Amino acid sequence: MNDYVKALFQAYYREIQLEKLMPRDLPKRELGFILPDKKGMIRHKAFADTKDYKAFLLQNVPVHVYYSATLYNSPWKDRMDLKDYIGCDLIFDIDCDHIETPCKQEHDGWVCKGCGKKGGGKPPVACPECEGMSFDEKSWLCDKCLAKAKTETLKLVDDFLIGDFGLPPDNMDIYFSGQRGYHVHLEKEAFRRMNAEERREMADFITATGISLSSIGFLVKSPSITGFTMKDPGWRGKIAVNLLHLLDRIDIDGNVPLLAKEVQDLLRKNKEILKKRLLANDPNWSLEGIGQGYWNRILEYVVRDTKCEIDVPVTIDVHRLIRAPNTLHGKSGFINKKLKRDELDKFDPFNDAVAFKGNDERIKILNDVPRFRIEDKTYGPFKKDDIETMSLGAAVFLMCKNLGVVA
Amino acid sequence: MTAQGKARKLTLDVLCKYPFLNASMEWIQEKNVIPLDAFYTHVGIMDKIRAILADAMDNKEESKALAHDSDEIIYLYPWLRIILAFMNMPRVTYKIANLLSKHFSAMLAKEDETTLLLVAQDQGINVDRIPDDKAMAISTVSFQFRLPFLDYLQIAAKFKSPAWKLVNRLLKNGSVYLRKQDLARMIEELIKTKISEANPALKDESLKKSFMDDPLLKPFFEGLMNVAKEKTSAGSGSTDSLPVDDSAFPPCINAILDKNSKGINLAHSERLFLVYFLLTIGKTVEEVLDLFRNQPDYNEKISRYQVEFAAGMHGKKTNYKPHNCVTLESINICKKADPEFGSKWCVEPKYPFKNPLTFYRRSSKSRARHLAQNSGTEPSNEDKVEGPSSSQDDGQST
Repeated sequence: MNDYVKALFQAYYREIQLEKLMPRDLPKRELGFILPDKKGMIRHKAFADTKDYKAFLLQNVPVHVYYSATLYNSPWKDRMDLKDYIGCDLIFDIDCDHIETPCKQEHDGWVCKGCGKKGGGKPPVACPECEGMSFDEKSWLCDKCLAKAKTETLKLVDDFLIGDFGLPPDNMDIYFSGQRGYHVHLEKEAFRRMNAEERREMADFITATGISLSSIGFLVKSPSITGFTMKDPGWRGKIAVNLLHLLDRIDIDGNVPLLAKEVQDLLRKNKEILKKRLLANDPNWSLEGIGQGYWNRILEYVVRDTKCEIDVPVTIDVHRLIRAPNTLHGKSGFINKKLKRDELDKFDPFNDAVAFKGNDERIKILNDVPRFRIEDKTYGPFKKDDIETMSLGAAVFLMCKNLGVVA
Repeated sequence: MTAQGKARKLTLDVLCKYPFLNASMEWIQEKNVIPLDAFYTHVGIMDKIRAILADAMDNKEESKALAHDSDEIIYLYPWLRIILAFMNMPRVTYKIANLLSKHFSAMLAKEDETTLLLVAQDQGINVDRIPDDKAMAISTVSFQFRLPFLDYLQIAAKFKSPAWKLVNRLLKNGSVYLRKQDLARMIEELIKTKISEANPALKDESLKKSFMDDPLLKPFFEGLMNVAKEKTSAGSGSTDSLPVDDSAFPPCINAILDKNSKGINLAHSERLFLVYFLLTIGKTVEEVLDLFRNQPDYNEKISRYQVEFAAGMHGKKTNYKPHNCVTLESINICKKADPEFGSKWCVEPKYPFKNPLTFYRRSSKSRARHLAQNSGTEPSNEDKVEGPSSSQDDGQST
């Protein structure tokens, strides 16, 4: 972090209201900081008072600020077994890194450390040129990736947490992470008491891990096939609802990606009768030409399309540090912004999470930069050594990524 | 305990039938009797406890000694738990817990909905009965009960069968819908857990002293101990004394070892699991470190510290156990259905298991048995070696 960005971060922490910074139960949480020019994370800090916390931020101007989702009686102790565990918030993490988007092929890439071969997207297991297994990776943020992360977050909140788990929206805090996704925090006592096994069961429900068609009642007694209805609870109903959506998409999209053409042709042929049965809540799924094998392929696709891409280890882990509310992300300059459910639909991270809005700056570009958007303006792509004038938010964004300096 | 008021609606007959009920304990407390007197006023208790122990050690799932023809059984039940605490033999406790929970569960599944509901509520299960006209029906099956999902998970998250996973349950607006037999099965688990937990009587020295000093009870207790010791030694089959058998590894371990042998960078979770597994089955720190020398980012100093930490040589000196299968599935380490590494003994085990250690122990035991049978007579035939199917170590080891 250069001095220019550090001064801006300091100004942000000076001006922010105390209550916006305050995590619930601050004195019971461990805090961790990545400080400029220091290696590793400063851990096992605890603050009895928000004023002390804010004073620490102002004095040290961290690049990243984390707090424990876990509450402890002695959060300052430097051994986990001495901290005296009380309970742990239930956290769901949706991260672009775990979601496949076609645009990653364009803006993410890798370079083989052995032979220098380059490629787009995620690195392969072995380099196709020299079979080396060590790569430098680069990733980028784009509107499409973050839009997909938001769609998954909406699915998590509306379909799963509210729909299946029956949680009121005011029981959950939603955060834009400040960089690559969203976090959903559940801080009620009942969730804090959950053990890792119970958390895993919730995560597995959301990701459809361990789903068994026979266990949920998909019955094949050839030639009769009994499926589900849209009013059924749990995954039965979800599959029926999304099967109906798939039938509509087959019409609209023509070709549905990742579903074999022969399967699509069979569904198209039986579309009207199946749609009629689904809308009438009739579980009779016996259809001409679609036997158990084809149904397995159809339902596998529907489940994959319906599940939500959360990062499971985050949910299961009861000793996790997570980005602290309304702090700044050192790799973007964006705010880890708290959102209400009804704010999420219109939330635009490239505008609403931008912390620094002000006069334009002239920036010298330090390395090639793909196209990006800050507020309502799109920048780039830029080449190394270009000098560009851009808004303060865009300048900070590039400086946080070590891709630019003030010219 | 939200339902004690309701539990009082249970008749004496039901209290005798299900002596594990909190209402049954309250009934005894109201009688205000001296605990040891139960053996003198109800002379059949000792014979029944002997019979229950014998049935449990024979792995039975019901016992005639639990017949509820008098209030004797209400006195018997707490004493059985106290005696198990005095015996302090976890394997015996587990077997008795298994017998009792299975026995009562089979009876509960035949009860009417009202009694079942009252029993569940007595046990602290926050379950609701859905009126008949509003019961959830799937095909022709009726789901007459519903339970908040957090309460459901507290009990069912431990279950091994895929059918009990939340993802395979009917969940709507935060409630899990249950059939009668599901509720009976959940009560069974609570009974088993409660019996297996440490009994507070263990700390009651005066009760223990008066029990052990009693001329009738001392020989009775010694007799129980003799039977328990005889039966446990006859059935013991620990793998701890067996050498480490690399050919008995489960698919998840084989897949990680394969990646490692090719020098592919292992994920942090894969490294942890591999270390915990190998150390638990008896590999040495040096043997584990040797494996990691294949890793592209191998650093002797860091790896040694981490492996030694996992072996309980640093920090708070915990011996970590490998993850359970469900966790491995969640973090994409499970390879049970993998075309290259998968095993039918994982996909369709004769006896379900929760941890890959059980797979390994069964498999290595089976191989050791097979090799012992073949030694000196004919060359061993690997193809004939059975996969892991024994239920011997499916209890506390997982």
